[in-house]
Amino acid sequence: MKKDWPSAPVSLQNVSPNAMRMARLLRMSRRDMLLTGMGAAVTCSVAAAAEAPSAPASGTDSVAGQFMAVSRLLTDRPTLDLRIGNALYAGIVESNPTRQAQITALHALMEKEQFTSAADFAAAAEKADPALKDVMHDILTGWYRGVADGKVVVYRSALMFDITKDAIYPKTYAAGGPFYWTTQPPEVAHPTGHPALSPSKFVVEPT
Amino acid sequence: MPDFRTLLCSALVAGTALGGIALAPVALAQPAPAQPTVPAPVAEQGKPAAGSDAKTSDHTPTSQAPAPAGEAAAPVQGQGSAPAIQSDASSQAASTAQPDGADAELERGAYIATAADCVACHTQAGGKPFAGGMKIATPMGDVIATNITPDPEHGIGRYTEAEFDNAIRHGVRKDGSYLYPVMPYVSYAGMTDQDVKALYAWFMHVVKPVSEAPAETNLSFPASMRSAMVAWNFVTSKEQPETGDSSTYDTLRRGRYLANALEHCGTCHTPRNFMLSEKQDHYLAGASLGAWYAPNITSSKTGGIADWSEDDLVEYLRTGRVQGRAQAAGPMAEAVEHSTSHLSEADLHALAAFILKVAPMDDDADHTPRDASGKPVEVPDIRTKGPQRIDDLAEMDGPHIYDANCSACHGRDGAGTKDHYVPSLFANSTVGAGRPDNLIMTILKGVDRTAGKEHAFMPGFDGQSDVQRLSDAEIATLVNYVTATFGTGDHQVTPELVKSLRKDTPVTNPLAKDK
Amino acid sequence: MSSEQTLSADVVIVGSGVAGASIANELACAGISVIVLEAGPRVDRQHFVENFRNLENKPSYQEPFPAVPWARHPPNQITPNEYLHTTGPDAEAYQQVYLRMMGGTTWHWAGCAWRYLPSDFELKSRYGQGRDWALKYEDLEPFYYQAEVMMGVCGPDPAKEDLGSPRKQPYPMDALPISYAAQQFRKLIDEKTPWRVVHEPQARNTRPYDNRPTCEGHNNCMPICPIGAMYNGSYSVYHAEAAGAKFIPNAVVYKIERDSANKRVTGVQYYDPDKQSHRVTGKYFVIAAHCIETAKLLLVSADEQSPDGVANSSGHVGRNMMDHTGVQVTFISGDKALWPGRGPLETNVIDNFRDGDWRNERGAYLVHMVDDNQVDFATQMAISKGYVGRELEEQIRYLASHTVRLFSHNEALPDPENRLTLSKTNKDILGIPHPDVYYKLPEYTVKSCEHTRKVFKELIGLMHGTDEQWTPGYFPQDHPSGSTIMGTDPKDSVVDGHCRTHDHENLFIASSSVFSTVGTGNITLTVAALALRVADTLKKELLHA
Repeated sequence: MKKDWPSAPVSLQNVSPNAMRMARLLRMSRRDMLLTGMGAAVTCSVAAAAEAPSAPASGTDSVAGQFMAVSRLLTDRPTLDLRIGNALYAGIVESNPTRQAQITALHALMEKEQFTSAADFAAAAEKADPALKDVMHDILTGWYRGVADGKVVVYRSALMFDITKDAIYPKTYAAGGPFYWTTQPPEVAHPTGHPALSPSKFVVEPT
Repeated sequence: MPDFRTLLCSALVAGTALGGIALAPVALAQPAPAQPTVPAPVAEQGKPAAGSDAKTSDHTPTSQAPAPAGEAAAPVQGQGSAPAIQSDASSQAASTAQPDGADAELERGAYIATAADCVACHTQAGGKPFAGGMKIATPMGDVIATNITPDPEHGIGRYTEAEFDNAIRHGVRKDGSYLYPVMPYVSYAGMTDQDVKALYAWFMHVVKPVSEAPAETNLSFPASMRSAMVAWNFVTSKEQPETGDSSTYDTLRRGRYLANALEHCGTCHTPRNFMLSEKQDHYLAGASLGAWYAPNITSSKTGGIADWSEDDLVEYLRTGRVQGRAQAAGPMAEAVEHSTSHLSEADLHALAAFILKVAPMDDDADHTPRDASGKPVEVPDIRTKGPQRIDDLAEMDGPHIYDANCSACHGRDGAGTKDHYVPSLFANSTVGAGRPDNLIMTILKGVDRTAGKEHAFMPGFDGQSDVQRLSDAEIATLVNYVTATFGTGDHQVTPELVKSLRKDTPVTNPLAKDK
Repeated sequence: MSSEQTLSADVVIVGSGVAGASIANELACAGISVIVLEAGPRVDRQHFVENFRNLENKPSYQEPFPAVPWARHPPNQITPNEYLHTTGPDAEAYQQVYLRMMGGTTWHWAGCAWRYLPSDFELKSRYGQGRDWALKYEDLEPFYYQAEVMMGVCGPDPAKEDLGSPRKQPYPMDALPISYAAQQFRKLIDEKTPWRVVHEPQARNTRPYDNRPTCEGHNNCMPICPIGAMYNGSYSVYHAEAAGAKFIPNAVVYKIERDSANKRVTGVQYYDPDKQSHRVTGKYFVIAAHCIETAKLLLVSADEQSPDGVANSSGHVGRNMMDHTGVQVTFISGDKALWPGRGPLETNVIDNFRDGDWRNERGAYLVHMVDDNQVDFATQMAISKGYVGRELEEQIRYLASHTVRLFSHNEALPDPENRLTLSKTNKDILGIPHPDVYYKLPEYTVKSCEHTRKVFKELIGLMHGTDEQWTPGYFPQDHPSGSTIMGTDPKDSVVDGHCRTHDHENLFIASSSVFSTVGTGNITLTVAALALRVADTLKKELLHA
C-alpha cells in the first residue's frame, strides 16, 4: 500500500475535517513543485488541462522532451498526449532519482541507432544495461495504466482503455446504456508477438 | 406542488402514470349513479353536499344513460392507437352491455380525455384517478383540483350534459359560480359539441366514482370571490368552438384543434399578460412556469424550433425524446406520459404539422437554436489527488462535480450512452437554452418519464435524493460548467438562483405515520 | 467530561448500516421515537466515486474509504493490519474489511442478496454439524421478502429457476440479464458438467426503483456504484430521517449502562470526536454495529456488574467467529474471448454445492464467476511478461478478453476458540481498544476448500486455462459472523430467536453476529431480514404495551 498518502492519520491535530483540509493545503510535495515548475499543461483541474497549449515541454527540463521521444518509440505510437506525458514524467522522476539519467540514456541509445520497433529498442536497451528495464516498465506502466510513482496520473485516459474501447468501458464510465453487456463483444485472435524484455515477477494482489 | 401554470400538465409523481390507473373494467355494467330523490348540489370544491347552498340546485340530472345510439360518432382518426387502457376498459364493457354506437362514443370520449390531459390535474400523487386533491400553486394561492369522478356526492355525478358542457367550455360550475382559470376552459372552449358529449359519456360511464372530498380551495381576497372571475372571463380571449365531426378535419385543422382545444399547449407555452390571460400575439413564444420554463416552440429560426422536422416533433411527442434535440422533463414529461404518447400516429402528425406552422416569434434569451450548441469534449483526466478521508465533503470545482456525478451516465465527453437511453449534453435543448432554468430543475428533480415501453429515469440531486444531495453552490458551479462546456456559455448561475428554484418540499417519508 | 444534556428516545440504535437503518426506518414510520448513533461521519457518493478513480490499487475496495481517526476501520486487507489485528494459524484468512460510517459496509458490497436455505438454519439436526438457529426459515420468510422490497432485489422467476429458498412472492424486480461472458460460462457448465449456473439475486435495479436509476453496468459495485443503482444502507438512513428518526453521526458508543439488577439496559454513552461524553437513554436498545464492532462494544462495556462484558453471562460474546473464507483463482481461458467486466460484478453462480448429505463432513460453498473488468490486470501481467509496444497492446487485448476469475464462499462452523478479544496494546485516539481476532480455519471449511480447488481445476481444464494464479492461502470474504451467537440456551448463546439478549430484556442485537451458522451466499439479506424482524418485535412491544 502506498504509505505517502495518509489513509487514516491518527494524530489529534488532524482529527477535524477542517484541520485536515488546512494540513493538506499546507502540504506541498516536491512533485507539486515540479509540476508547477514545468509550467505548461499540468494543472490540478481537468478543465485547465483542456485549455492547455500543446506546446512541447518547456525548456525548464530538457529530459521531458527526451521522455516523450522515448515513450513514442516504446509504445510504437507516433503521437502521444503531451499533457499526460508531462504529468507522467513528473511522477516517474519523483519516484526515483536515477530515472532522469536513465531516460537520457534510453534517449541516447535511440538516437545512436535507428530502431524500427519498440521491441527492438527495448531488447537492445536491456542488453545495454539491465537496469534500464525498470525505467521502461515505469514508462509503459505510466502510459498504459496511467500510473506513475504509485499514483494515478490518468484513469480513463490511460492507453489500456483506448486499446480495448471497442469492447469494454473503464469501471464507472460505462456508456453502453442498461444491459449493453448482453451482446457479444469482439473476438480477439491469439497474439503472435514475443516479449522483448525478460519476464518479471507478477503476483495477483489479494483484493 | 406545481407552480402556477404548470397546472394543466402538472406533477403526477412516479407510479400514477395513466397506464397504471385502473379504470373499472365493468364500469358500464354498473348502474349509472342513482338519481337522487332529493336534489342536492354537487360539491364542486369537495365540501359535503349537505353544507352547500341547496337553492342553486334547481335542476336534477335528467339522464345518466349513454347518449342515443343514433348520435354515435365516427371513430377518431387512427383510433387503433387510442390509449390501450381505455379502449380495453370500454371494449370489455361494451361487449357485455353496450351497443356499438355507444361503444364508439365512449372510445372517443376516452381519447378526448387523454388528449385533453384531464388526469394531470385532477389526480393527485398516489391518489385515485380523477378524484382531485392536487394542489396547484397560483400567484393568489393554492387551487385544489376537484373530484371529477361521477360520484354524486363528491364528484360530478349529478351534472347534466349541459352543466358539464358549461363547466368545460365556459368555466361555470353547476351552482352557477365561476371556475378559477387554472381550469383551461378557455382552451376547452374550442371543443366540438360532439366531443364534449363523448367526454361526458365517458366520464359518467367509465370513470370509477370515488366518494372522497378533496380539500377546498381557499384563496386570498379578491380571488377568493369567485364572482370576480366573471370579469376575468370577460376580458380573456377564448377559443371559438369548432364544429362538426372533429375526426374528419383536414390535417392542419385537426392539428389546430388538438393543439388548442385539447392539448392546450398555449396554457404553458404562451406568455400571459398582466391579467394572466394568454397573449395571443405571442402564441407559443415561451413562458416561465415559475421553476420550469416552457420554451418558445414557434417556427423562429433563432428562438424556436424551426430546425425540427415533423418527424422529429412526432417522435418527441410520442416518446418524450429526440436524440440530438431534446428530452421532456418536468411538466412536459407528464404531458407526454399522460397525453401525447397516447395520441394516434395521424394525430401526432397533425399536431406536429400545425405547431411547425406557428408564426415565428424571436426569443429574448435564445438567439441560436437551443439544440445547436456544443460538441463532444475529450480531455485527459489528469489526476493529482489520492483518496480523501471519508468525512471530507469539500465542494469540488465544476469539472470534478461533473466527473463525480454526471460522467458515469452522460460520459466524460458528454455524449451520453450509445443506445441514447442517456442523452448527450451537447446538441441538447436543455443545456443549449439561453435560460438555465430547465437545466437547474432537471438536476434538482431528475427525469421520470414513461412513454410506451420506455421508462426514462435520471435521479434528482436535490435534498430528497438518495443518490446524491448537492448544495445550491454545487449545482450552480455544475450548471455553469455544463453550459460553458456543452452549451452556449457560462450562465453565471448563482447559488441564490438555485435556491429560489429548488423549493424543496419538506423531506418526508410517505410511509411514515402522522404523529 | 460529560455533556449536560441527556438525549432520550423509545429506541436507541447503535450503528447505521443496513441493520440499524432499516430498523430505524420501520420504527420511525410507525411513529416510534428513534435515535441512531453512528460512530463514523455522514458521507456522500460523489467523493467516493472520485476516491475510487484516484486510487492506484483499484481492486482494493476498502481503500477508497479512508477512515476517520475516532472510528477507525481496517484501511485494507493486508496483514498485519493497522486496526484489526488477526492472529492464529489462519490470521490472513480473517482479515475482514468493513466501513464505519453512515450506511455502513453496504457502500461496498456487491449487492448479492441471497436467502439462506431452510437447511442452513438446521445444520445440527440435519447434518450433525455446528448448531441449529433458534428460528426456522419459515419464521424469516416474510422478513426476507420485506428486506427484498426495501432494498430492491432483482432475481429469477422461481418457477424457472428455483434457488432452494421457498418464496411466497416473486422478486420485486426481474432478474438481471447476464453478460456475454456469464452466458458462455453458463453454457459451458450446462453442456460439460453435471452442475448449473443460476442468476444471482441482487439488490440492484433492473428498472427505475425507489427513485434510483437502472443499473448501467459500471462494473464497480465494489467499491462504489457511481449511480446508486445498487442498494446501500444510506438510503435507509435517509428514509428513517425523513420519517422522523434522529441520526447522530460521529457518536462513538463506548459504554452500555444497566440497572442495578443488571436486567435492563438504561442508557448508552458515546464520545464525540473531541472525546466529550454524551449519554442517551431509552426504553429499548439495539446494537447494530457490525459483527466485529458489536462484540467489541459489549466487551468494552465490562464493569463490576459484568466483568466479562455486557450480555456475556455465557462467555460467548466474541466467540464463534465465522466467515465464508474461500478460494480464489485467476487464469487465462484458451477458448473464445469473454471480455469479463461488462455489466455488474457478480451476477451468476454455481449453486450445486450449497447443500447435500456431504454437509455432515465438509462445508457447503458457492462458486462465483466474477464478471470483473480485467484490463488493468491484463496490462500489469503483459508488462511483467516483457511485452512492449505493439506486442504489448496485442497482449493486453488478449489477456483482458480471456482472463477468468473464480472464487468461492465456503461455509465455516462456529468454534468458540475462534475469538475476538480486546487488544491489550492498541487503542484508538478515544482510548478504546482495537479488536484482535484469533482464527483457525475449521477442518470442515478446509475440506470444503479442498473440494472447491478440485472443482476449480476441473473448470480451468474445461476452459483450456493457463497461467493459473491462486490467491495464496484462504480468501476472506468480509462476511464475519457469530460473535454474539443465537441459541435457545442462555448458557451457550448470547441472543434468543428474536435477537434479544438472554441477559438483558430490552437489549437486541441486529447483525450477522447473531448467526448460529453461516451457510453460503452473502449474508446481507439475512442481516436485513433479522433486523426487520427485530423491528417487528419492537413495534409489537412498544405499540401494544
